[in-house]
Amino acid sequence: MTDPLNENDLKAEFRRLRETEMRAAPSYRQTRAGPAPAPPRWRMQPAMQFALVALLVVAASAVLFDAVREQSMPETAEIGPPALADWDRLAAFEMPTDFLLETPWFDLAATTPDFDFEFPQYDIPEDLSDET
Amino acid sequence: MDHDQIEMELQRLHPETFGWALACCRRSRSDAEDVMQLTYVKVLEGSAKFDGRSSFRTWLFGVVRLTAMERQRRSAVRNRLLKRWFAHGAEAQAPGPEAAIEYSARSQQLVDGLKRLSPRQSEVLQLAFYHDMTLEEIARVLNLSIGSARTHYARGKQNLARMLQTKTQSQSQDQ
Repeated sequence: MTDPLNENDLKAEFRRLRETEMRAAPSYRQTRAGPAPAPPRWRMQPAMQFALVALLVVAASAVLFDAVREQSMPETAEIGPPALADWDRLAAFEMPTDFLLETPWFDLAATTPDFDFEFPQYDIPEDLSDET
Repeated sequence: MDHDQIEMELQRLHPETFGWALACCRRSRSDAEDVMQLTYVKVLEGSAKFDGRSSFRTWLFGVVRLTAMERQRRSAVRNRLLKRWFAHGAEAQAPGPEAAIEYSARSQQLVDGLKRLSPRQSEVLQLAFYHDMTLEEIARVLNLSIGSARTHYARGKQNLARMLQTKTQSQSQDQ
C-alpha cells in the first residue's frame, strides 16, 4: 500500500489533469450534433430516374430499329415485268416439297385403261340418239 | 426519466464524460469526441436505456466504455485490413496534431504513466481519482466484482506512484 502522502500527490496530479481536460472539452451542442454534415448532393427522385432511363431505352430502340429497317428494305422503284427467260425459269421451277401435294395413283387416273378387247358397236336409232 | 431529463443530465455531466471518454480512448481527442457522439445518440434514441439500478452517471460511464470498446474493435479490424493493403495504413489513422490536448509537463507524466498501466488498472484509477467514484461505483462501471476493483485499485496505485516517483527522481538528477 502506498503511504497517504503519495495518495494525496496522486489526487493532486489527477485534479490538475482533470482541470486541463475539462477546459478542452467541446461544447455539448457541438458534440451532440456530431461533425458538420456534408452539403446535400442533388439527387433525382426515383420516379424521375426511371422515366429518364425508360426514355433513353425507347430512343435507342427507335434509332436501332430504324437503321435495321433501312438495311432490309428492297429498292421499290426499279421493279418491272420479268423478262421472257425469267418466265421460262419460273415455269420450270419446282418446289422441293411438291411431292407432298401429289395424289396417290394419280397416273392411273390420268391414263385410259387398255382392256385388250373391242367394245361392241351398237347402232343407235336416230330417234333415240338425241335422248340423253 | 423522460427525454428532457436525460438531455439535461447529459449536458450537466458533459465535461466529466469527456474526461472519461478520453481515458477510454487512450487520450485521443478525436476518438473521444466520436465516442461521446455515438453514446449520446444511443442514449437519446433509446438504444441504450437507463434502468435506474445505479446512478445515471455510473450507467452513462458504462455506456461510454462499451461504445469505446466497440469502436476500438472496429478500427482494429479496419487497421489490420489497411495494413495488409497499404504499407502506411496505420499512420493514416493516427490523430493529427490539431486533435491533441496540450498538457503541462506534470500532467503529461501522469498521462504517460496511465498509458503504461494495464487497461483495467488505468480505468480504476481514473474513476477513483479523476471522477471521485467509490469502489462500488467503479465495479458497476467496469462490470467487475468489488473485490477485483479493489485489487486493481491497490496494484494500479502502487505502480503509478512508483512510475511517477522514478520519473521525478530521474528529472531531478538531470537538473
